[in-house]
Amino acid sequence: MVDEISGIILAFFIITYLLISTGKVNRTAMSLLGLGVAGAILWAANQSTFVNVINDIEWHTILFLTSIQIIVVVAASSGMFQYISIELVKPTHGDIKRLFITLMAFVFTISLIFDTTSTMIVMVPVTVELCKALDLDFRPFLISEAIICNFASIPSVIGSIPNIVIATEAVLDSSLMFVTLMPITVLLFAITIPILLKYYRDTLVLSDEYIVEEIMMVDSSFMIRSKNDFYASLVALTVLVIGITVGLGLGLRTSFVAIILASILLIFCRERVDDILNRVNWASILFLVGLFGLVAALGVTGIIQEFSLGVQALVNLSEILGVTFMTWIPAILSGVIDTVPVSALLAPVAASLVSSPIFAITLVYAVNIGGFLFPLGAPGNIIIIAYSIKEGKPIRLLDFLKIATPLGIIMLGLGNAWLLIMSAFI
Amino acid sequence: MRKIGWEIIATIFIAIMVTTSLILLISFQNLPMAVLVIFIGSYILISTEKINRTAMSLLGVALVGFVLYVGQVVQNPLGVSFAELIEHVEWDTIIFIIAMSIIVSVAAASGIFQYIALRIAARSEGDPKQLFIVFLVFISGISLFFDTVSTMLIAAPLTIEICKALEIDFKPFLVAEAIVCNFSSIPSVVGAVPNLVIAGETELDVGFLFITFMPLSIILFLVSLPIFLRWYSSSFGVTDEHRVDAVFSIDPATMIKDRWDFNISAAAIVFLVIGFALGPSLRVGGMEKGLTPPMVALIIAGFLLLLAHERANEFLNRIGWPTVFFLVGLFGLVGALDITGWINFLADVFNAIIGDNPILQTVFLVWIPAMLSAFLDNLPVSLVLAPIAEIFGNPLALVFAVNVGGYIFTPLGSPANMVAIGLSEQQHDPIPFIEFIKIGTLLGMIHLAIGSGYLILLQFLFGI
Repeated sequence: MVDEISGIILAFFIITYLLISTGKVNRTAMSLLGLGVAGAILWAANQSTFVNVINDIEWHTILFLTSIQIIVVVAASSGMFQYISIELVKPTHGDIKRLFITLMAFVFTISLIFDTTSTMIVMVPVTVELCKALDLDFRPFLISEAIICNFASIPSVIGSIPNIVIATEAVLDSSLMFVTLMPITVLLFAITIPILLKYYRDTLVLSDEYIVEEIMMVDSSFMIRSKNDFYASLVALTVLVIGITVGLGLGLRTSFVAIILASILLIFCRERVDDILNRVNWASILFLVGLFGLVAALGVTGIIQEFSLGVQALVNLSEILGVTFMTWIPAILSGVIDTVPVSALLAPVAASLVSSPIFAITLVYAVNIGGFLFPLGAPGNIIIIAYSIKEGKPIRLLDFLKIATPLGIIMLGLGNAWLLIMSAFI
Repeated sequence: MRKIGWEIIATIFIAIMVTTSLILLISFQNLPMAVLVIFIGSYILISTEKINRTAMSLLGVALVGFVLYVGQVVQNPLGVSFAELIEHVEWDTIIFIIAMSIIVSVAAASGIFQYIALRIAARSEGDPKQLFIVFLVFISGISLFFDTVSTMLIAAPLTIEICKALEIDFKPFLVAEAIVCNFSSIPSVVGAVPNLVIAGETELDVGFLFITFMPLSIILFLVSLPIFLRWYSSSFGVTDEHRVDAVFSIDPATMIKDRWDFNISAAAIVFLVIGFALGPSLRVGGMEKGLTPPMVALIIAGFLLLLAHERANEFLNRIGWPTVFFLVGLFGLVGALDITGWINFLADVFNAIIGDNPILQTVFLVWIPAMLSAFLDNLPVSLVLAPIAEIFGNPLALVFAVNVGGYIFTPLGSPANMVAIGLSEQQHDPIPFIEFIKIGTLLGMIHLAIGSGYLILLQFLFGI
């Protein structure tokens, strides 16, 4: 009886994931419906009550994510990041290569603190505006930014939703994660930039000198909407990062630090609270609630535990095999499905491999790279594609695939080697 | 910066609160008192309405989490980690509210409620008093099928729209609706989440509850109506003739924006009502629970969102997130009281006070839970008191008490009130807490007195 139910739940789970990966149905709707139906199946089989499934959802990860989103919304809507990016490209004096590198370095930096979706929401409009003003094709810029914002998130606990999910569930030490992954991420950046410059050399050519001079005179301060918000949210983000690092040593959960900061920030935003809360990306938070619920339903049937045991056996067999497995399989799955559901599914598995945090770290690396292995793997990519269509110069899936997939494969190979070296130390 | 005033006062208040709490904890090892200080402090700050209540309730839960964590560090046996505190939040209720909000916002977009509202409002012919009565009757009707939050989510936006069109103040309407939807839920198991909890714990019969309480609910309605009309008599003016004509000459059918959406929404509501009415009694074999309303609501909400497709995100953004997170914070605060044993303490006190006298029992089981749920949100109160009510064989009194308790003393007792207040804030014409407290407490006291008499009478006549 129990095995039959496990089979039904597993089949249902796979169907839900496949439907999500087609991108034809609304992801949030599908995951919430999936949770409801999985609850109904378990109820009908008298396996678990709906309340139990709901209580098994990783609520503190949800609260953590919500709090970070609140802080990020305040920061992103201050307009300061757009202002800074324009100020940064001004001194390049129309040298397109330098401009490209500066923009990418900026994306790299803010990816460390913003999740990929927020990074792209901040960067895409300003990039398109800049390119239009300089009479450049914006598509190479957007594709490059999408790739960079995905992999630049790797070393940071708050850098992307998968990182938040994995790090919270596996109680990953944020400083260890940063130290282990920052060098390889910088290396990836150093390799990617020349490749991108070479690949796009025909489109990244200097436009009319005269236009260039005009742009560099633009007054960018009109971009600023609220300096106070910017400073307040920047302080909050800094305290957040320190708090998470210190707090973990004290045994404080990450969600706790984030909630305190977010609620203080909200108190000071007074009557704008509702406005801020309405700008939080609820669709992706509820998407995650549904996914966690589905994974919890799988957990009730014992399938996750069995899967964990299998991976554990593999790891015990050979750590090299384990790391390699944890690099490639989640990456490919994330590329095909989406990074968030894959991390929701695999985070408990990584958390069960308590022998060494290297597996959780590997998983973080893998899902972030997997995000751009295929165009629909991460919401950042979908944003640029949607935006380019709106602007009338659509980025075709093939445009993206041609450059992103080979880069992703190179990065997975490099990462695999790096993580194997690291596994000798931690 | 704009004027700062209240944030600074609040910050100082919070600092004093946290310091007091930590002194209690560290010097006296008194974790329960430390938690109580934070709890009461947060409630006071929320009640002032000078700082955002969502922000304050989240901060409250974080602070209480901090105190509990420090408790763990100083090795107080009651200290727990933040993750454990979070588990005490009633997440299934949160899911339920989110799902119901989705259903309501999809249905509202289809125009179905506008259709119904115009139909019923037309009977009033524009007289504010008539309109008021018609709306309250409507509310008491749907309260039987939907829980209080859903009732308010359905009715309040309509009320606001019609009142705005007729240029009548909508605040009296919303306050009265919130109160009516609370007490009209008494006879129905699905009428309010606490009813469901109590019925689940005490195995109360659905039909029995309905038969015994329907007359009471009608009596309460008839008693309240004249009071409302008197209370608000000054705000019911006379509406312009042409305005009335303009509103009611609209054919309700034109409100239907899209036939397909309309039909889907109508079907969804029918399924919802059936699921709510029959689901809980669907118990096969040794099942612990029937089909619970949160699951029914979530499945239907998922379907509706799926059909909405690209508009789904728009509907998601229309959910009252500030209210949802306000409740998350509130549940967390109450969870902390539970962890530190305050709620068990209450149960013990109860046991000590109530003797064998059945009349005394009834009176106590009515008034005390009502007082508690005035402050604590009626759901956790029901959770704690349901076992006690079962011991005394008096679940009816508890159902009555927690529903009426939702609107006495503070509006915090029932989420439906917060929905009403939240919606009025969205219209930039907020219902002041004090306004709610005045009328709510007055009516609540009358209702409690009538209810105790009714229950004692039942006991006397039928020995129930």
